[in-house]
Amino acid sequence: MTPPGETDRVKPIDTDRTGILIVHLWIEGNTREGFRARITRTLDPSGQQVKAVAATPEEIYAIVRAWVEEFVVTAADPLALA
Amino acid sequence: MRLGLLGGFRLSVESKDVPLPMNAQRLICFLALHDQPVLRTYVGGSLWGDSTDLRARGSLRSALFRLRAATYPVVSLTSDHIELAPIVAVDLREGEALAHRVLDPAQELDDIAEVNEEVLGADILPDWTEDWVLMERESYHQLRLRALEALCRRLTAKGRFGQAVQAGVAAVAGEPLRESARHALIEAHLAERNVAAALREYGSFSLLLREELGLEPSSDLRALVDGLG
Repeated sequence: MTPPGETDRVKPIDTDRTGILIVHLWIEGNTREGFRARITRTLDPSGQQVKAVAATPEEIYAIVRAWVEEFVVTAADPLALA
Repeated sequence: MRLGLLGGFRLSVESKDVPLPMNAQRLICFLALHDQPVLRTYVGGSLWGDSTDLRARGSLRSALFRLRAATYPVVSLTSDHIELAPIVAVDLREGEALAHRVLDPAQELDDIAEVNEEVLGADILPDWTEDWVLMERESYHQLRLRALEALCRRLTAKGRFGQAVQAGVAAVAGEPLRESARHALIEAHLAERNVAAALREYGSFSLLLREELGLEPSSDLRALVDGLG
């Protein structure tokens, strides 16, 4: 129920910025050396997809870390993306 | 009535395109990807979550109005839920069913190869950037790549080399770093006695792997082309 004095017209919906990162892992030839990752990430507000590849867990961690840090900066200041 | 999500949005009735505004297209696609009745509030919040409740409800009403104006019922409504009308055939569902058939060794190939380009060769709404599309697109992308690779191998085993190469090329295009897809494609080339194409494929994969990851192809893949040229 809408509280007195408050209408839908002035009630805001969450406008938090979002981003998605998908890490697809696979193994070639059932060996540790065959480890592969394709990382697809987006950053609001552009929604543009960026892809990267990795062959070790450490490379994935570095890509994810950079993405999170970029997200924090651009979410706080969308103009930083421009 | 047919809804195409693979390769881009297309709604058609008896092969004639039905033009729809973007908000109606988004609603149809959202419902098609959920494949079950969805709460109206959830739909409004998901599609127009960056506006107020009132505006989201208005956008949903507007999209529904546009769809009701179409000659055929595209959506089914209850007081709380919305779903895609059962008469709408969705190409994604056909693609998923086909992929599972291809991946099941007990299923015969028959007419599978004739339709692989249409439904296994494309991703869901490739130029849409919305979150709710991205996850579904990735999921189907992986399924269709596995299916294309399996199709390439099965067609090679049947001696249908041209179609095998076509499926293999589509699998490689979907993930150029997937060595198992390159393996299947090179085997198809070799089965067709097209040594030059096999060597070219191996060479381009080696180059890509070196450039992207600083790695070399596995000994299994190298063994396929050793001594050929």
